[in-house]
Amino acid sequence: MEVAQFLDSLGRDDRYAGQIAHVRKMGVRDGVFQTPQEPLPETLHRVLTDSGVESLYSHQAEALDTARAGHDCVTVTGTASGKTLCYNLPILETCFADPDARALYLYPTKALAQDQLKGLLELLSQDPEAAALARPGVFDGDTPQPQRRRIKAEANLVLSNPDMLHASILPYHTKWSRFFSELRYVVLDEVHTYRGILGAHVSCVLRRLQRVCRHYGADPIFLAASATIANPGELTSRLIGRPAKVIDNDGSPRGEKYFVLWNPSPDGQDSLARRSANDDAVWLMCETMEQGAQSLTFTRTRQAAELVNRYVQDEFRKSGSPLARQMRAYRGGYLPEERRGIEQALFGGELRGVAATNALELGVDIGSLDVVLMVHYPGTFASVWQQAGRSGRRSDESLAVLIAGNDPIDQYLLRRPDYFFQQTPEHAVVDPENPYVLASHLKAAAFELPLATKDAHLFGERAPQLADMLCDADELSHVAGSFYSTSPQNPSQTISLRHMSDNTFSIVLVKDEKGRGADKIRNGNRTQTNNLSARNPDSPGAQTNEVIANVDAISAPELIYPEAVYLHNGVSFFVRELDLEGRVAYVERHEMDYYTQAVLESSVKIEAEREARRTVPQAFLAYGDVEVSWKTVAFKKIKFETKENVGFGSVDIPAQQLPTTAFWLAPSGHVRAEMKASKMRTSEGMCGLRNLAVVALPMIAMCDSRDISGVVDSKNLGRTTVILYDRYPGGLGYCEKGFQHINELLALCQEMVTACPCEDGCPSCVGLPNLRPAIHSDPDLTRGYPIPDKAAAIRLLELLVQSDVEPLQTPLDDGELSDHAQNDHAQNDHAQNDPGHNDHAHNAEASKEDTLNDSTAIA
Amino acid sequence: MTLTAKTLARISKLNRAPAVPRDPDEQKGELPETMLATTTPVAQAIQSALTPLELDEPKTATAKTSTANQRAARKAERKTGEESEAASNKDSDSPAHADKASPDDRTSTRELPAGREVHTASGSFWRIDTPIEQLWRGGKGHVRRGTEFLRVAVQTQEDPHPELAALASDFPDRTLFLDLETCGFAGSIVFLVGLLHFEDGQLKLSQLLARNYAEEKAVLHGLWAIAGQSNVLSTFNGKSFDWPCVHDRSTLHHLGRDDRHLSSLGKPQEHTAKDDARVESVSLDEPMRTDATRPDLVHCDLLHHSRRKWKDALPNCRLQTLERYICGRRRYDDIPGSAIPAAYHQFVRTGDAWEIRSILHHNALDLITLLQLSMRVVE
Repeated sequence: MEVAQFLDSLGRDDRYAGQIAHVRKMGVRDGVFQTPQEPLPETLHRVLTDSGVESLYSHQAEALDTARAGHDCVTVTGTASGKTLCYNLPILETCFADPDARALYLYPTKALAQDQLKGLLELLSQDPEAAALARPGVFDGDTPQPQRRRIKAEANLVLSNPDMLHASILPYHTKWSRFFSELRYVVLDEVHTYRGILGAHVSCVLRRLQRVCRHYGADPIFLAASATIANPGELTSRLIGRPAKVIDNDGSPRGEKYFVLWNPSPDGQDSLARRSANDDAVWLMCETMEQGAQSLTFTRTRQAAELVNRYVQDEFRKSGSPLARQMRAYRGGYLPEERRGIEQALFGGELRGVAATNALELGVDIGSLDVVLMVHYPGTFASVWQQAGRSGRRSDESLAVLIAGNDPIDQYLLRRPDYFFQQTPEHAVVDPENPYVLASHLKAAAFELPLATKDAHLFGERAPQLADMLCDADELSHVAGSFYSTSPQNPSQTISLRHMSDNTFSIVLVKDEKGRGADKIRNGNRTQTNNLSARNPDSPGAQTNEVIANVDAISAPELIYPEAVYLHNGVSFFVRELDLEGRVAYVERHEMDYYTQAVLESSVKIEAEREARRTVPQAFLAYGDVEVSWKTVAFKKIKFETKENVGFGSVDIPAQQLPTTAFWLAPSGHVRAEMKASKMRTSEGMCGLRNLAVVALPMIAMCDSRDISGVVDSKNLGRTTVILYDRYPGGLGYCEKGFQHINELLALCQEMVTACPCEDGCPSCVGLPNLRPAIHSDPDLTRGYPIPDKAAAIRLLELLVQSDVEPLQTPLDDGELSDHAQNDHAQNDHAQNDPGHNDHAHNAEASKEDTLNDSTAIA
Repeated sequence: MTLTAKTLARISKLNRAPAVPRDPDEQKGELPETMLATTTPVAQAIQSALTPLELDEPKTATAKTSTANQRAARKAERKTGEESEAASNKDSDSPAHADKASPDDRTSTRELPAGREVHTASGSFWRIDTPIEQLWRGGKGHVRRGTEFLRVAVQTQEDPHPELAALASDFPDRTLFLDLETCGFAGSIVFLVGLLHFEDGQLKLSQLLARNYAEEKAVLHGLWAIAGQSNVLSTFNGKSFDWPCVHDRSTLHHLGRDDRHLSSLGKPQEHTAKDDARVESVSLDEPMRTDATRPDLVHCDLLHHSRRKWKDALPNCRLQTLERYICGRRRYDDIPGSAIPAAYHQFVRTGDAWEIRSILHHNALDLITLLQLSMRVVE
């Protein structure tokens, strides 16, 4: 499409003039080709030529040379740069030459494995000889039992995910002994997703994999691929426990790409509010699709994806355009079959527009699109570039638009385009030696093969000590120089690699007698339907029920509470019943003129203090157990289009709970008095501190900022307190580290905020860049959160860090709450006035954000 | 991936449900009469060979769990057992349970039962041999008659199942009866291989015990050395559990190569019992090479044959159900299967063989039942 012309016409359109805040051209690049040091073998050359690849880009040739030399490597090149070939070239070359050779491909999601299987089969489809030599198969939780046996015996390229490797392959390695003894290559695609908690787990799983391979006499080479992050080489090396070469000489060509920052115009009546970003996305979708472009909108929530899809379809229907049928929504929760259908239609060009969540952010091959719209800043810069990378033609022009929301963060970015374009993608941090994670994996490792002392170096210095601890707890047994598992069952099955449980609810459409109801959804999985009917023989209409979607258990109470309106690809369903025990929501097909929005209540409750310290003289500091809980208490009915609130309803379902560990810090009365004297609010400073700490703590605790969360609260201790907790059931010691190294943490926060050149606070310091609203709700209906007062945060940190203040001579318990403090509390820190208080909902929600990813890879 | 409390509660409930009916007499009443009677003339001719039998109880395993009630019940049962045995089994010796040690005597239980240490190229293990006569008074005669019965029964069948034909032709001298005790489900350590096999001209029970986890490899090596002597393998549920377990754990220890999938993907092969060249001999003194083919036996899994024969007549086809209705025996004070892994871990930790004795006894009972079922499973 002619982007420049299109942008020009937009500028002239009265309705939209002035909304383009900034345009940046990303520059044309010609393809750089390179021949590998040794020529490609004939079969491989033929396969490539048949699929249209005449010569290799520079990064592909380099990756092949590196793998041939036996080095581990990670490829970091742009979206659609042919990264897949970087690992497929050496693998296909090897298995064409040696029929015994095996390769294992690990993808973070099941969807990606399916997508790559399709890609491999297509690549080989032209050549029967090659197809006989390379036999790929997906082995994951969805693989039916009879097929599993065949894949074990016959496939030489096995596509799976880390969760499956962890729980169902490694523990039964004897069934795979041939596979492991001939394993030459392990592919780690989308390696940037293995950071923080998932990364810590995956690094342990990969060490277990290496140990099992060695047992069978193999030492596979790791071939990784990553989206753009700041430290791909470091991340990969830490994950696999040995150095990995970085390949980033992207030789793929790129057409002209325009990156537009779009700011919806202020509303006429109220100059502070702006038009909805959703509405502008709908309009831009319609405009670009009518111009013949293939367009993709990324929204931050599932509900927003559904709404954008619905409104775009409505617009086209009104004008009688056939494009109404070529628009779809795509998000987590859709059944795999439906998702595969959308991906293929997008790839094949039949679909002209899709509104998606970040479920489409990972590398499922949907081809290159003309236009990507991002509704609101997605939370990280890595996500911005990943999503924007979905548009980009090799020769034609393409367009990416960030449509700012009304949030202070979005507005900040729009005001400073240079800051926006200069931001480097985030660092990915992973700690392979997290003791909590390592301990559970040592148990799993010992079940696989007795753990000898010589294995210590593989699992790090702490491993022998941890193994001894596990022995003392009777979890392992030490016999004849090795540790043996005493667990009667495969211990892996009780260890989740991800933040939260992977239980899912099924959304079941109850059809009436005439069998109507499923007319718009033709993706029901018959097997599942039958299972469900069998499980719920008493449920109404059990015989004709059909599963139309899934939702993770964490999000279920927020999306499918009784009387909710569930949106699915532009169609609305009424939730008649939520069976919490059976994990089923029964929905009926009703066309409603409203949708529903859950009202959440959340809290962090300090359950037990394990330890308190005086390391910060001017604050009470403790570490212990907390319970984070959130609950849907009511819902609002919102009319489509007008967004009028047309009613309320109450919801009575139990709260979701996350028992975890946390540290909390409450400034002394002296600090609060000083703050007051400086005419600053302690609580405002505390919110800034919380936002800084969520970014700073990962550097000390070696985790991802998504692995921890925090609130500012005054209900627990009766005065303003910052509570930071681990987002993993039982905790993983991140906040424990923060507790132990509190002065380092505070110093780091102080350094970050004072060194920041901004005036009143920005997303790089006191503003939290990855704070997200509830994942299912419509962002138009949630209010933005202010960036806390930078000066207050700086002053608070000064008061906390300075060492010349006399330590308080008060006990460490709540007795410290003196008259002075109580007054302060009453005047300043009342929960209702606490600007951070309302962030509770945010953070409890944020704890679920990963479920928004297509994290259905779990075996 | 972690189970929820609710799921755990459900599993626990399931787990606690009794494996056999609590009141077996009540259940027995529901069984068709024909069930326990043999109907064919051949069967009638040797019916006496298969009357209920009594086993020596372990000298010690009774005291721990038995209640007064159970003791009374056992006494009554023993009496009926004696009567029937005396009535129908004229050539048998006096009742088998003559020598009973005091149930509370634990002094001798700290040590393992008498046996010998077997040294192999894969390490050493403890082997306990018990002639069949010691376990089953008159068993020798029963087996002799059972052998005849089997042969005749198979001959009268038009198209006998190949596994049963193999069993009939190689029973008992070229048949290996096998039952494992492991540390849990699939993938866990095999610590006891219980075998009934023909050696030195007699049928004997050989129990190969790993005295700790590290001896598993030696136990498996010992098993392969014995397995090479037989043509037919008889197990109960061994196709799903015991035999894959043996192969998997052998693979883990690099003991030979698992060639099963190459031949038949685990399906029963045509009977080739007389094809002696096929049998590999495994020497205890030499390491089993990683690329060596493991002895291949015709596998007759009695669970499948029992199901075929009795599934409509019995409440279920669990081993202990068959033991009760087909063999006419019941167990008291038997260690439940679910308690075995913990008992073994306890033994490894403390060296106290108290628990091991009940496991050995449990394993021996399973094997005797297996032997008896083998003689009855052919119609």
